[in-house]
Amino acid sequence: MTSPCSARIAVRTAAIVFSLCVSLLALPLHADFERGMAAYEAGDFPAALAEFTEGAAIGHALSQYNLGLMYHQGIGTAQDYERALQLFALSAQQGLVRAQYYLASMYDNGQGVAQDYREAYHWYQQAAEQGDAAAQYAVGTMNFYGQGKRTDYAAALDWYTKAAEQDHGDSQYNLGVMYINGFGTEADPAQALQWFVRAARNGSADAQFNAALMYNNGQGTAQDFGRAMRYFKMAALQGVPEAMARIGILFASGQGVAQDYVQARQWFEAAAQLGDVPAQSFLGRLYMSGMGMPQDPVSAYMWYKLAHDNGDNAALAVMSALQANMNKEQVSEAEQRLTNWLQQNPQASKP
Amino acid sequence: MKHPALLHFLAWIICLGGFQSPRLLAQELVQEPTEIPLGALVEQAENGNDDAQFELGLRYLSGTGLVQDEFQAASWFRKAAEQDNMNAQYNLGVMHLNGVGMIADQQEAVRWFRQAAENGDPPSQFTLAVLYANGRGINRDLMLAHMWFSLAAAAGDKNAAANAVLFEEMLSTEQILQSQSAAQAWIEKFNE
Repeated sequence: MTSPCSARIAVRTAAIVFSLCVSLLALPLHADFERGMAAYEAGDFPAALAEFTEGAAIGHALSQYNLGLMYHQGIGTAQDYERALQLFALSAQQGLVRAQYYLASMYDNGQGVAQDYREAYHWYQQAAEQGDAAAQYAVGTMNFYGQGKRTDYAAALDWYTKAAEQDHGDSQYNLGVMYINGFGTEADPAQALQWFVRAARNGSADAQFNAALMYNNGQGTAQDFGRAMRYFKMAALQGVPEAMARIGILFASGQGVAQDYVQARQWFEAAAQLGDVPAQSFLGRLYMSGMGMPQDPVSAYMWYKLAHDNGDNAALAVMSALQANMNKEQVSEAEQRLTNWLQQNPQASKP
Repeated sequence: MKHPALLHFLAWIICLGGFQSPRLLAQELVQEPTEIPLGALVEQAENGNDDAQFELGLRYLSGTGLVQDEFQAASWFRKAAEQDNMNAQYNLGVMHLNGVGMIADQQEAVRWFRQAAENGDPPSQFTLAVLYANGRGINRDLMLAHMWFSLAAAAGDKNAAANAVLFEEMLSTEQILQSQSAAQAWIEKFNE
């Protein structure tokens, strides 16, 4: 997550979350189903299982689906993926969107059956065509990576757009990535930014960082340090060290905010603790000249050494310059301080 | 008049059969800054004069008459560069490449070198060519590398001329002709 839009598209396997359908209105309810729901809600899982089994046996789609979920999750019964798969398949064939989605994700993940992207694609597509945003995202991703079919960026873009318009956050993020890199479309930074902003509002830290970077660099938008700061802060609150370091830079250089070395140092420290190497060397820089604090060659040496240990080769020249004006005790004090600090902050060191 | 002071940037790329990455050696100034008093310079810079902004950036970068501070230097270069000051654009390119006063960012480096290169700055043209040749911050493209080396060479850069010749070894005749006509078109447009 560094360069402008260290944009990345992550394959996200569909997480199967247990959620019983209570309010699928399009399908007729059924007495067994209602008794099953009542039993389930009362925590009487064996009774729920029995009722759903009866409903499933006479072909009630919601009962088949719920029973499938209970087998899938092992609730009121031993976990049994193969049964779950059969039940989802029966329900999916009747057009139940959720069943189609879960059936697809079982083929996708190879649960209860050998992994089969073609089958997975088929069932995701059924659900996607019925408007299910998660399924549209899955179809988009399979088109992007060429799973179950050939890679087709234009189709991926279409499906992501459908899901994104339903406010599906991961689709919005991936659309941003596709527009910035020009996958399946002309590169269009303005569109990319628009989708990153929407994904950012949906809580994606990567999208927040990318949007911030685009405002920072004036990419797809007029340059705007104020907005950059706002989005960097959103990402920083979610623990993105690169965002913290960027905020440090904005404070140190007084871009978008009043220049403030003390705030800069605090943000660099936060990033440094999480292993951000540039922040570690910038801290050394602040201590070396006493920017916003008394000059302190021992601390400066400590931070530059940490940056160097983490792979910043340029830090070495500064270390020897510092060393020229330090006595042996000061150098070993700096090294001792670093050792102690690293014990408190193990994340600060690269493996 | 544009201030010619630039950061020295030496790029090592020329070896038959292999590329090395660009390397920044000294951050030494070609020319001393002018002698405008600091107060007057700050005032001009704050009033939006890009040459003053560039020079104030230089003074921060070198610590001339004030405490050295690359962060503030970056901020003033940025202001001047946004106003199309090619010296500031070049320096922003170098600082992005090396993470001086800012987070290192090769794509941003390319963007600033490109702006200065389009403004006719030979060192930026040279560096842009090196970045194209090495695929740094941009997709590797030997033809464009050749074109930018040729343009820097046309402006009198001997290393660029040597590189352009070396790159011809790696390109087809057709590609060389294409690169040359692109360079020619660039020069004609620039001179308009």
